[in-house]
Amino acid sequence: MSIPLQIATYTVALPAVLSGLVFAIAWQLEVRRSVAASYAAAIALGLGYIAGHVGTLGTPAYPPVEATQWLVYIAILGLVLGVFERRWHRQAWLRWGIRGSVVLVMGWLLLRPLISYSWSTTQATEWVLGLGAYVLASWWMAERLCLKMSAKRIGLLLILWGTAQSIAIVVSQSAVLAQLQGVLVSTIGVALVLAWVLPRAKVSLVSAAPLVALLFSSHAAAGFFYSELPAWSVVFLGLTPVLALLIWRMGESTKLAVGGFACAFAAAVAAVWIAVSNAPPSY
Amino acid sequence: MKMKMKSSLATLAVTVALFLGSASSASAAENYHIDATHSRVTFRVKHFGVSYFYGQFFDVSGTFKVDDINASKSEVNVIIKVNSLDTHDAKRDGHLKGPDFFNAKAFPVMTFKGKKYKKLGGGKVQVTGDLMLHGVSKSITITLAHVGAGKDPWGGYRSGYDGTFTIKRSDYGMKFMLGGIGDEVTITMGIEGVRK
Repeated sequence: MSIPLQIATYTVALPAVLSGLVFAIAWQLEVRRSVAASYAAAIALGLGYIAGHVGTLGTPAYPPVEATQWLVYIAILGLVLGVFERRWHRQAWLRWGIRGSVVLVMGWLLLRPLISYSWSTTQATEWVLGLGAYVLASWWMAERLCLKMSAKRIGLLLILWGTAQSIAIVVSQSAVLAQLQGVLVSTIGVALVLAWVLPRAKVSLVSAAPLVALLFSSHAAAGFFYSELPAWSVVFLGLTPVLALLIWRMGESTKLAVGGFACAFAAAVAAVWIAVSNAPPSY
Repeated sequence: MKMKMKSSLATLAVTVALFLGSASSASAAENYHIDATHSRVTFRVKHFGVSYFYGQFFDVSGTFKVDDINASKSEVNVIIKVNSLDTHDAKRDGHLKGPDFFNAKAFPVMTFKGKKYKKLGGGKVQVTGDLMLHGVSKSITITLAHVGAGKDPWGGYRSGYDGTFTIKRSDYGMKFMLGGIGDEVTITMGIEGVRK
């Protein structure tokens, strides 16, 4: 199979088809008023990402030895949290306590090679806590967006954010991480298409908030720590959804909706431009 | 008579002891540290099935011990810094050192540690040991050929070995672009040591 065909199959088609299948099943459950339908986004995006990851990189090693191999387990974690979090953990203090523990463990696992070989204890502590704060902020922001905004609007924003992140990562010397980000964008694309084409399906991305937050921040972290994604690109990528959320919270008008997208687009372009500027010339 | 016999036996014993002592010291194990300036690890891999692409690692260090009498007591420990990779193209070097291939920030060194040694004759020795690459350790066997040994102009004594072996990069978790860049990688290790 040629490389473009491999990318089209494993990065786009396979995750999209699997996600679409899960959403289709969820729609039937929704018609029958089953509660399970409300978890469709977590399962659809999670399974789609896992399938795309395995298709792109093969079965992950266990135990994993590097960051990209941990991503599939982070996706499983995001899927499980998306399904069970709001049901089991109604108390905010318990929910945030678990989130804090999850992000610290995730940060330690992702950064373990650097902790083992390159950093002092102080550096390791600073970076793990810093990454944890970034992930928690992403999680809060994803949750706010998914709770307040429609799936159409969130889907479009996530695709803009995810595409910018993928481009920034590929020019920063990692095609693998960019492909995996593309897998995630592909699954979100299915949700967006369904939200636009089949409003009766009542697509909701709320349950996918943990998965989105964990994977977006993991890809950015892996790009920054193990590839050459510049720090300012990471900052502007993080600002992309934040700026949109800040504008949209001001009201429901069309101007504000467009304004939010415009600010998000500007931040995304800045992130990509910084990454391109820092990339060495082509070979 | 008895005194003369005792004296002869004592002389014989001392002579034999001296002979054995000189024999063992002449063939004692020799310890070397690897001279990075004159050691290299090069590799080649197929590019889209049409040609071989070559690269090398310049930062090679470590030690080896040569025991001519008992080859099983020899030792070799080679440490290669992944960041010393050079293919004469900055962007390609960066890509190879990134997460898609060697992931130098996560795995800054590759190592080979010999465990079993077998003299093959003709100046060759077969070394079986652990190759640690990309966080994965696998047992491999390399045939090292002794290139030569002798004094250098600065009063030191040098010895060099050369060996070539082939691995599959996918065995070590490097699976990116197996269609375009070959799975089999041929590695040539040329090491020169300075006797301690």
